[in-house]
Amino acid sequence: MNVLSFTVPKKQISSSISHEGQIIAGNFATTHNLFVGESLFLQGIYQDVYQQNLKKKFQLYKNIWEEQTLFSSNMTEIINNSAYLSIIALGIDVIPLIIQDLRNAENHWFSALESLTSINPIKKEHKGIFNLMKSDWLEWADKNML
Amino acid sequence: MELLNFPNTKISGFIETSKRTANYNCIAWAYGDDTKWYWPENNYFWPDDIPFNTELDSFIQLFEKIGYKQCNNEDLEEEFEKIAIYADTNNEPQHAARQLISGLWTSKLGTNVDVSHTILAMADGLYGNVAVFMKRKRLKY
Repeated sequence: MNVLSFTVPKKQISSSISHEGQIIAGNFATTHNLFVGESLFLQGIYQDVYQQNLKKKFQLYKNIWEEQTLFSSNMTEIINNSAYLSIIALGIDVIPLIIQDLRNAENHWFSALESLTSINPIKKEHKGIFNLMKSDWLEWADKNML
Repeated sequence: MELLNFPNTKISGFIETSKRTANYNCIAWAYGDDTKWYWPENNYFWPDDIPFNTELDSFIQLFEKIGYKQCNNEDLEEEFEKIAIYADTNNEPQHAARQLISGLWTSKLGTNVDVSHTILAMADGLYGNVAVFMKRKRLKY
């Protein structure tokens, strides 16, 4: 982008700021973005904050999901629970957190993992057998260094 | 054991009989299998010859596969073992329980523990009410 030709979207800036002020504000924003974009130090900080937020959200949704489905045998209901779907909506960055939880606990993450990766390593003869389904996914995770 | 999801446990409590596990569910437990999670859902165990849907009739067919036939009541009959399928207000199965020789019933509560209970204790709770009772000759009578 040519910084000098930066135009400010009208909706983002208060109308009480003059046109010149808007250009200056826009230039500041662009300069900041360029600086952050090239700063490995700041990228690292932002990445840490992002990971912390991701972990917090994952833990929050997981707790809600476990609480709301603790008594359910209805797997359709369990994997369509809104908190479970919110975890899937966090995107592929959440996969390592799911794998970590799968290693340590008995949680049915198989549908979420399939949604996030578009693959399913569960062997047909392992369907419904938790420990074998878990092994199939952890084998996939190990191959993919997760 | 009194649980908010099962209001009748105030009158007739559950008795916890196992540790918590997600390895099997109530359908498997009523079926006599504590190694699998039974549900007509991708990745889970469901026999190939039973319709792959959550209609009550599919669950009835599941239990008919191992010799159960529909019956009228939960009364203890020494030469028969009984199961109960619980369904919600849409008549969709949510739970199954199996009668013990004592006349009490045994249930697996989702990913939680196994419990012993009366039919009354489970009624009007999270799983709805009994939609169907089924029975078969006891295997070792």
